[in-house]
Amino acid sequence: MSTEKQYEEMIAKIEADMSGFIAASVVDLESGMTLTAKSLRSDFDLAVASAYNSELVKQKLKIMKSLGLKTHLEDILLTLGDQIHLIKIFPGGHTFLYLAAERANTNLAIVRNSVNKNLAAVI
Amino acid sequence: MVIRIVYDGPPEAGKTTSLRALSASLARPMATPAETDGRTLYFDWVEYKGGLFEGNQILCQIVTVPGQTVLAHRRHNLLETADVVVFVSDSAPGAVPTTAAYLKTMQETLDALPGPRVGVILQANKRDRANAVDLSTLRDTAPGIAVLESVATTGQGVREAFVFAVRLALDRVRELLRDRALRLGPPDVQSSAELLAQLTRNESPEQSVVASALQEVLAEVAAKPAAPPVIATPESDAPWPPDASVPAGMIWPPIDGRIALHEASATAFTPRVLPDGDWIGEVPGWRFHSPRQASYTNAEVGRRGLVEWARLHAGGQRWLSSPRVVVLAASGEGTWRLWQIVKNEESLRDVLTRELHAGSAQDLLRRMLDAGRVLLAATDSLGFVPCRLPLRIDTIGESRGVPLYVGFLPDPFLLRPPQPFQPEQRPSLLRRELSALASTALRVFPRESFPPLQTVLRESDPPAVVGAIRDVLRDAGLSEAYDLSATEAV
Repeated sequence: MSTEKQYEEMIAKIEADMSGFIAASVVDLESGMTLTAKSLRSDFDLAVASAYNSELVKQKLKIMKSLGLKTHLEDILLTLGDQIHLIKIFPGGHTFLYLAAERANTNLAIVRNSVNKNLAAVI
Repeated sequence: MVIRIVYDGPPEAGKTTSLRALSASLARPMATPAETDGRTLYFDWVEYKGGLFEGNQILCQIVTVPGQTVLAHRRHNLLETADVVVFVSDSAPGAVPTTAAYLKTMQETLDALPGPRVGVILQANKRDRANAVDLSTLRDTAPGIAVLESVATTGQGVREAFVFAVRLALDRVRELLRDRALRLGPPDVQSSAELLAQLTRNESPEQSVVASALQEVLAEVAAKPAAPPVIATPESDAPWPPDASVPAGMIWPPIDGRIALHEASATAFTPRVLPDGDWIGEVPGWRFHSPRQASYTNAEVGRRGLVEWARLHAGGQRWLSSPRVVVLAASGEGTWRLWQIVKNEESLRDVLTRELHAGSAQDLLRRMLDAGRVLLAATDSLGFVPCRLPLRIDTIGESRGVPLYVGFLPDPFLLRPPQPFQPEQRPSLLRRELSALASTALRVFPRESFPPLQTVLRESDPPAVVGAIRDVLRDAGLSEAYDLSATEAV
């Protein structure tokens, strides 16, 4: 398991790489607990968002199992009116990165590229 | 969904420090109902809402227990409420027995609880110690328990251990749900004040008196002014002992040495002089030594000695016990003194005489054979150390069967070149050293309790060692107990 410090550094690098960063956390899938979290907005409750997103991932995994899909879940993209939310599942499937960004200042390609590039440092 | 995570462990292992780090990491305040001089008297408390379980938000009540033995009843009461236990242990070698003892009492408490097993993880704390024990040692101490590393003072590893603990707690909750044993409704305790009230209510008058007495003693200790620094003005003409505040460049190895010296100088001591004029000091776990001549009015000359010793230590590292520190420290009145500081390791004499009375004459013979084998191996390996070292049962120890020099190195300005041992010198060395031991150890047991030597021999015992021991036994008047022809046949 990577350390809180490594996760913090990864999020800091992602934030530095892209524009429109709002918040990000690394979340334990099983419990929904955050292993680290950073938010630029005080009204963005990352602990709550992370916990509910862990349920989202679990439900998606259940769906995949029900469908008998013999593959793994790589990421989940959610497009809101003014935000992009990306959930990137770490190899092993026990942990994921949850990232929120402003849609007006970034795009999916930039977000994905930044996440994939910096994820390599902690896996 | 409320889960209780209890941080247990021996005193001063880092429970409160862990919770403080966690409280900072989770951005939640920590409450401590009563504390004296940094020692927890009841518990520390952090509440954190986070995560989800079966669609329900999880509220974590995170508490530490007081570690002091006299507050064991409070510890016990808190452990009984745990959904999971994070056992915080110190990584110092000397702390392992205490860790084992506390783990045992914790496990006994948990085993007596009804319902699904309460999960335990061992948070191996203080991993930044220079002499931190191997994780395998801690795993052996806590078989079947997950071990996670931490440095609570920096927060490293604390949050990971916490999240892992939540997982274990949820496993238990799931089991309780499956057994339809999960209590529904609000928890008995919803705040630190309520937990304090509950603990106080459950205490007998005698337990309260003991706890109050401890509180008073701790308060008295805390009120006293801090002890003077170790290098206070000496009471006699003894040199000042070294401490970790020596300037850079005056200590070897540079970083680990300062950390080790910090640990070694934590206990104050006044050096005492030996008949030959050398200065020594002993504190728990460490020995200090400074040769008589190793005093310098010029620090630069002293530094040359430091460099010589550092080279010697680095060159012979493989054959020397560790950790070892060399330091040039102010010794008072403008002079400097070179010290070497060695972590205590058992010598062959220590091994041979350890719990001697509890063993048998047969054990003693076996130990003598093993000691002889190590001494014999040392005649080869110590030839590689770049100076001549005294080969004695007091200066040689072993690690996994390999000989190690556990004594002090000679004065850096009086070094003699290494002198390889000739095969013909070995029997006399073995006889001399084993005789030194035999003079006392062999008298521990009655003459008739010694079994024939051949009954304790192994094929791997070198003939030179067997021969030397036979001579030693003969000199001690025990020869008639042996059938020499049978010994030689082995």
